[in-house]
Amino acid sequence: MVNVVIDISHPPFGHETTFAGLYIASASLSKGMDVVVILRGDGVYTGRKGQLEPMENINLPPTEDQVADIIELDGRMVADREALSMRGIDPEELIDGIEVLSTDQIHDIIIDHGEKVVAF
Amino acid sequence: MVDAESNNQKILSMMLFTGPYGSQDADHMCRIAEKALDKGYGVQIFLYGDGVHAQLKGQAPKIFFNIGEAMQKLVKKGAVIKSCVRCSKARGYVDGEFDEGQDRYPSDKALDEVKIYSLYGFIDMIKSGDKLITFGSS
Repeated sequence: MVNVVIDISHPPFGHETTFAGLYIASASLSKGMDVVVILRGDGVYTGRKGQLEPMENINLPPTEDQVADIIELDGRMVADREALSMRGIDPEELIDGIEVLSTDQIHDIIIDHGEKVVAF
Repeated sequence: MVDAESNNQKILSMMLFTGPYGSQDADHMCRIAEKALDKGYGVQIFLYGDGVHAQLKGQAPKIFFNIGEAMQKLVKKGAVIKSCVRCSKARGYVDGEFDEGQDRYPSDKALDEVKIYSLYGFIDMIKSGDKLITFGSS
């Protein structure tokens, strides 16, 4: 089994970056790889549920749907508790299935699971 | 894909997410790739996002390192370079449907040395690579 970490630190809209990272996560899962997506820094905004329909509003793909798909495909998605706290985001506001971990625990994932780390 | 098993090589996979010349990412990537080839690594590169602009034919920078020529040289030395079809289509590089015979999407604007391919081309590079380096994506 190949382990992949997708490390997302950009916000979901304004750049193609986050969409591109989540796209790789889905494709990796569909090829049988073990995937962990880390949301840290402004990447935690990607985990918020209840985003407006972005295709209708700013003509960008809905990352909320991508997150839900990744979780449904048994991908593991984690968000940095400190990054959430600094941005005033309550873990209750996150899409169901996202784990909230400390920065230290996230570093453990990168070290223990991150044979291949793709950062966005 | 680099045929590592028959050569008993270590494989270096690389991804480029930014275009050439606006930053040194493409420059660094090409130079590291060449050094890795010289050290005996197999090298496979995936162009993603704005990184697909590195495949443009006819690049002619006045003072910068020519990324198009560098990539042609890398392929000549054995590197495999693919680019994302979704990103290439969005940026006007793709002229038609996948060509099974050529094993790539057709393009008049992209270098012949670069295969425009589905994202699974990169997933295979992640799987098969011993090392993975990404440029310009964070």
